[in-house]
Amino acid sequence: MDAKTPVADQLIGKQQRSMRLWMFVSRYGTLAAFLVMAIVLSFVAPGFLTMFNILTILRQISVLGIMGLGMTLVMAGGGIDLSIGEAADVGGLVCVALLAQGWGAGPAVLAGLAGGAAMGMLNATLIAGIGIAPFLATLGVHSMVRSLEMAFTRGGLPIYLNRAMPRPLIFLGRGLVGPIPTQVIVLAVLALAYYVIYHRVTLGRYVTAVGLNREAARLSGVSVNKVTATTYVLASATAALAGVILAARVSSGQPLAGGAYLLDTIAAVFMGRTISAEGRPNVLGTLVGAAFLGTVVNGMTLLNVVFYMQTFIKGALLLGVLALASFARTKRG
Amino acid sequence: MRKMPGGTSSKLSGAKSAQLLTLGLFAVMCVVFAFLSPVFLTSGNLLNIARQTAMLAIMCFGMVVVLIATGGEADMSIAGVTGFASGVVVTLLARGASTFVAIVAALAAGTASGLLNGMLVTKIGLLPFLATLATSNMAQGLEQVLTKGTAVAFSDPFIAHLANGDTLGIPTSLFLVLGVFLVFYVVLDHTGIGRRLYAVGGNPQVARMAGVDVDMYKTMAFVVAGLCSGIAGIVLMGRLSGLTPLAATHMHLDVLLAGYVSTVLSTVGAPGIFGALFGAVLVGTLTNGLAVIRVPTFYVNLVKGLLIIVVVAANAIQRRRRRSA
Repeated sequence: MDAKTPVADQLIGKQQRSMRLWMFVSRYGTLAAFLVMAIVLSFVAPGFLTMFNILTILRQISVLGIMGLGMTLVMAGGGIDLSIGEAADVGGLVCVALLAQGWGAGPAVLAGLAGGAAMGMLNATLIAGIGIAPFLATLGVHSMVRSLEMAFTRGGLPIYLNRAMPRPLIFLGRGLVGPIPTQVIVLAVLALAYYVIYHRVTLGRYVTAVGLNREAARLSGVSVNKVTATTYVLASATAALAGVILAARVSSGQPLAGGAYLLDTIAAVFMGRTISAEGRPNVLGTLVGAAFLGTVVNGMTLLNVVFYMQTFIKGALLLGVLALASFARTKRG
Repeated sequence: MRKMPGGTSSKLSGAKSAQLLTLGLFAVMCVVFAFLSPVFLTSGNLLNIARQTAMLAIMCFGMVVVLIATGGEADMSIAGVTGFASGVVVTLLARGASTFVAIVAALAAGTASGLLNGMLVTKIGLLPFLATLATSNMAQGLEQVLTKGTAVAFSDPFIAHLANGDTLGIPTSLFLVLGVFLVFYVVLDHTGIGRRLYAVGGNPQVARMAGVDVDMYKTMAFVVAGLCSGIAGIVLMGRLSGLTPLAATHMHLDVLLAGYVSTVLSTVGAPGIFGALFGAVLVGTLTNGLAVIRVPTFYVNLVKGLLIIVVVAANAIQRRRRRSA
């Protein structure tokens, strides 16, 4: 418009510059912090930059990464799943309990995944069917399933097998393909699958539409409830697979083990949001977030940071990431 | 995230029936406990419930203020901050600080955590439940840093009296709850501050146009919740004569449950202070009753988780009816 005065032009220019700076910081802040941290760690932490340690980090983040994939989809649809850790527990416990009953590896793993999917359906019913706010519904399920786990394992005793784990599960939990841990390959395959679902298929577009504006999505003919339900079922089933891997890694079913991954999973997805141009949850970003968190924990362990300091540092990191993601959103909006 | 449960004074039959249902639930619960355990209705156990509920009630008052100001969004950090405040008071006392200093520091720690929540929500624009979840995690971390992750034993006569003692034959903590309750009752129900707080939660846009500093009121709500957590933390330390790691964390579910019970009880869709007190008493009685009829502890959370879902589902159905009405 030609009615603009030069002063106003200048002001707008200035605003745009500061906005661009913010977009830059929020978009590349996470990556830059990751890079700086890795460089610092490779100097101060002995053994950080060895091939062995990097493979260890990758192995450590694969469970988190797999759980993060499902969470990415849920959060892209505008929801959240606070019971994702328990879905992993259900997967692992059901699988190991059935192995202990003499089931074969294949059926036991499938049953574990089915258990996870059933939990996802419960979440989906409460959220899409009844209309409970996602964080409350999944919080309720979270505490109920935890309680059932305690009852099922007589107060939290791990389930051990009185024979060796079946071969395929050992391969899944501790095996290598060439130099690369099997679970890292599982993560890569699942990430590819999620990438296709989310970024290349209609379902993914619907999820995004529901996450951006439920009402508009409904009016455009998307069956919002079905899409929402699908995200929760997929997320729980995927987390159950992570739980199976975790159980295979430690050769036992550990009750209440998955809960520890909840905040890390949320943090990974939020970190991922900051590196996408639209500030939305995305598959690649979640993987970067998981790698970031895994590196932080690995570094703190190498530097002998005591465990209670680790809780605090991770909490502070999560807050920082949330703030960054939120800044990014407000500046873009 | 969700649409606010309408702060308007629309009269509903749905709200009435939900109220009756909740009160009925409470009555049935009490009758069942009384039948299954001869201990439940003894004066000793009732006083015990009062003592056990005092801390929860104070936490719940803070939760309700946040629920009012944010239009139904929970503060997930109340239990975590309570533990943090408890860690502050016990650490200072164990290092030889005076009771007064330790108490003031715990209240300050709670208030500061609340202020952080408020800033994250209003200045940075985080969703309340995410911001408070992160704060909670950090507060738990700080608690562990203070206590080095181990149990700390310390008994302070004044705090012990406050938490476990009797005054005139009545638990002292009841007087504390009554005092806090009266302050909240007067401020929420009989001052302009309370009215504006409801307005902010009911419809922020309208409140802003009416000249209310919405962000300030929201921040203050989180600060008040933090302060309540501080008080609760002091009581917790007194009850335990010290602190065990993350002793407060298991109250997380109780606070949420009590807060949402109070929401269902209200006729206007936003909870009130009487509802908060009732919610705390209901949850406190439930916890005690399940213990005296010897339900294994791991089923207790099953019951509470189920109740949260039932209560919140009732709330969601109420709201849907209200919207279509």
